[in-house]
Amino acid sequence: MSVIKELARKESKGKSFRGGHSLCRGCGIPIVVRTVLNSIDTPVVVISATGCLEVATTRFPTTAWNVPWLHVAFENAAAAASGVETAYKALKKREAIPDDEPVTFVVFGGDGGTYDIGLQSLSGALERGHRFLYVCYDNEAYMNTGIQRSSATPFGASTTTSPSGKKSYGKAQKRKDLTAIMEAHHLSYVGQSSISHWYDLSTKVKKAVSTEGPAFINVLSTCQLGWRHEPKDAVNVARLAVETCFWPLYEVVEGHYNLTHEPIKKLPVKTWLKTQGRFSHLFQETNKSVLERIQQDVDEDWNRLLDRCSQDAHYFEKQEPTFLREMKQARL
Amino acid sequence: MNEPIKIYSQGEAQLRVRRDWCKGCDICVDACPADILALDETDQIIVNDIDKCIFCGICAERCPDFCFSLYRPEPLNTK
Repeated sequence: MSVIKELARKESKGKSFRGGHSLCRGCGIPIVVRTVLNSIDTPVVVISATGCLEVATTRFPTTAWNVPWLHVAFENAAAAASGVETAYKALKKREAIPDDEPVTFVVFGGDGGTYDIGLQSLSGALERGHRFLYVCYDNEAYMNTGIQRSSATPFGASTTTSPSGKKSYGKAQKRKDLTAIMEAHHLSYVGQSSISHWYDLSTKVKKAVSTEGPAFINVLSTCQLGWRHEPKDAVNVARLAVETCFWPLYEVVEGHYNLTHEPIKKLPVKTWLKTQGRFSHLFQETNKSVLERIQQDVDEDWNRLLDRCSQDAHYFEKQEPTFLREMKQARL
Repeated sequence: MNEPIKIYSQGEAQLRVRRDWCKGCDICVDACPADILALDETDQIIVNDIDKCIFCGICAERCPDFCFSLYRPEPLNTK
């Protein structure tokens, strides 16, 4: 696997994504993009859904991308990616482009473009089996247009369209479990990671691009504006989400669950909620039951995940998936 | 007006900092294990003591604005 120095060295040699963009200070998205792109050794083609990343990195006439980059619309990033991938295959068949170097297709979409608007085209592209890696940077609301709730917004969070107040405690619905929906497409690799654990994310990307067919990684990214925390705490807040088991880090390899990071001590979810202004109303006396329900939900989901992981433990002990074995051999 | 890229060197290894890209988010200051990074009065990054730098690369990995790049001689035993 890569170490941080290798990633940093790759960064100084050929930057596929560069600074000078207009994303907010303390934004988590560039951390996701850089770690993902630096972990891929082949040339890449990037397809972006509409979102903070697309808007802030490609202000006319400038661009922050040093790789082929395509954006079509909000809802069809995955459909555009399947078109690009098919065109590449067709050109290769006609011998119009050299066959020797494989190209990786990476799609970046926010939680709005993935959980809500782009879900239909993503589901279709995954079912058709186009070979690309879909990375969802999940900052849990439509941050680009002014913090509207999305189906990734957690229960109890205050956003501009689910504001907290006298009669409301924020969003009243539980968030959608997208990683489970992706797992239901029978992909060979589905992962869930966070910006705070760069090694975990980098390893998952390497595993994902070495599979045949589509792969999906859901990465928790922070938004200091929407989550209302200090910009310097961006990485720490993401880490607390993992340590409180709100956002467990796991992977699903060919339908088998594997926990990639188990917190040494499971912290109460309160410690994570306290760091953010969007949850500050939950600490009033009237909202005590909401806080309890959040902890209950997190515990239930965590125990369910632990159960599934222990059921599938034999799979990772006995037979290693072929591509994992090949990767290990390549490293030796 | 500051020069766009400030080069700090320790022997052959270099830490290059693009100060004009810095938005002053403080993430690197928080992450640096050697504790040598700080923000100046204009809220932009400065390196206090380059001799203490261990060239771990965590600043280059974390910075959302790509301010840091590390240059070092290639190790001899690369495969």
